[in-house]
Amino acid sequence: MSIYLVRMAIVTCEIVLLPLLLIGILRATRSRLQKRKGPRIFQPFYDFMRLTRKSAVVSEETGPLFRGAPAASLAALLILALVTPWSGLAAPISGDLVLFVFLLAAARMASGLAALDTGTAFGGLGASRESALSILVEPTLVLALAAGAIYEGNLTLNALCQPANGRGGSAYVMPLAAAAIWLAAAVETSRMPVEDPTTHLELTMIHEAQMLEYSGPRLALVEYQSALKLTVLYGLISQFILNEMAIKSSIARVSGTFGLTIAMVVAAAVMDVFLVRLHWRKLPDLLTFGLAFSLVACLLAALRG
Amino acid sequence: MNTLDSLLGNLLLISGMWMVGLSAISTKLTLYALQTVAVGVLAILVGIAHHETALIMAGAGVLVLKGIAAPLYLSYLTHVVGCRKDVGSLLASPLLLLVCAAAVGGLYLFHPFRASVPPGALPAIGVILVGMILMVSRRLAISQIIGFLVLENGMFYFTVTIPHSLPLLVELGVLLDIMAGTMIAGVLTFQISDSFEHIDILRLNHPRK
Repeated sequence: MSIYLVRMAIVTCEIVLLPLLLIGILRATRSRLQKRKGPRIFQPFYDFMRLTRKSAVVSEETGPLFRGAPAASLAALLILALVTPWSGLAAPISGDLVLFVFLLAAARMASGLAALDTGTAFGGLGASRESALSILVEPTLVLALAAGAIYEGNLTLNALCQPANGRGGSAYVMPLAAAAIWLAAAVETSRMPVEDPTTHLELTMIHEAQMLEYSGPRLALVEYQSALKLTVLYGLISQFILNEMAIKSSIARVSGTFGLTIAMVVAAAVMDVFLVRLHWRKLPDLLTFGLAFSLVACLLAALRG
Repeated sequence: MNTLDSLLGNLLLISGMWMVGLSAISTKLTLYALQTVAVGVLAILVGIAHHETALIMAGAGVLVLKGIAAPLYLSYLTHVVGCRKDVGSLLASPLLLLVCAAAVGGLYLFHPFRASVPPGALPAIGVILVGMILMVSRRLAISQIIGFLVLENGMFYFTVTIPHSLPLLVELGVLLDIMAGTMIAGVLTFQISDSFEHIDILRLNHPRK
């Protein structure tokens, strides 16, 4: 029981602190790469505090959907963070891969409905684009997680952080699944080849366009949610990589996950700086790579098991 | 050696599928070169392990001629013809990737060549299939040459996985044929580009006035 409490405490601390810290590292790295001084690493925390103290401006056209959506999607994402073993430790609540994808979709639905509720053109545009992309991303996520599940012989997500077969060298099941989730994460967290996170041009926005109407505490919540999603997905990718390296002890896994997540955040910053945003119509071409890779990963896992 | 075999086979398959989805010629050539160098190195290693001089020499030939010379020649060709991006494929490239995955999946699951092909050589058949898809699907002449070379990589990998399968003479003859084929295809591409101003095969019906 006490071990469970310790685990819960560590996961809670990470849920509270890590997302904003990762965003801070990402922004600082991006600024350094662009030869700018950039904000401090802890700037997102100050921003969060500042936003929670401000009063919110809410359009009179909006209904309760717009006001309640940040809380609803935050709830979905918090449950997601509690059922996924993204910290390297077993998740406090046991869940399976369908629940994972469902919770991501639930959060997306809440933010999409809220964006439609505002009645602005850009909000509707963003919601429509994000839901179209999610159609392309969901099969990739399901299949990649299924490849891991088939390989470990267990459908629960927690099996991903307790490799049953420490064989390592998984004949590309784990690397392929990790690559597929990485591509899906680029869409889910709206990073560079999919969307320019620093853009001020509303027409090219996807996820950002849904956040345009928010201000004050709700904006703080919405920004924290993007950060949380990024943390969970990168942590999940780290589990696949750690399984490939057959690392079993929980201390090594937690520190390994931490290191890998920061490495991935730095890689995301590098991609933000050096890649160009793909044309909206070219995205299916890119995302099918993820689908094909996760299909092959499933196939290889099934053949091995 | 056996695990290394299957690891490399799957890597060849994955890089082949990657090439099917790509449209930038230079990236495709880089991937092809890496793939070929990997096959050549594997052939040399297997040759050393089994004390087969033929395989070592064939591996070295593949490494130098197909892994280094052919990509350099083809990148020179793209440079001269001035075609850096694929104009398109006969099917949309996402569909092509799925066709590849389906073909490889069917191959692995049903294993239609059970009688004649050992399971270790299955990835080689997969690479041949992917090479065929690569060759047939693209509209740009250079991409088709690359597809042909990938197909041949699959063939060579197949001979590597089955020891004592081919004598040196045949191996080197095949290599020579491949090189000659690539050169001729390259010269043809020059000619096509000269007389049609483009190497998109769908435009061959409309010669320059």
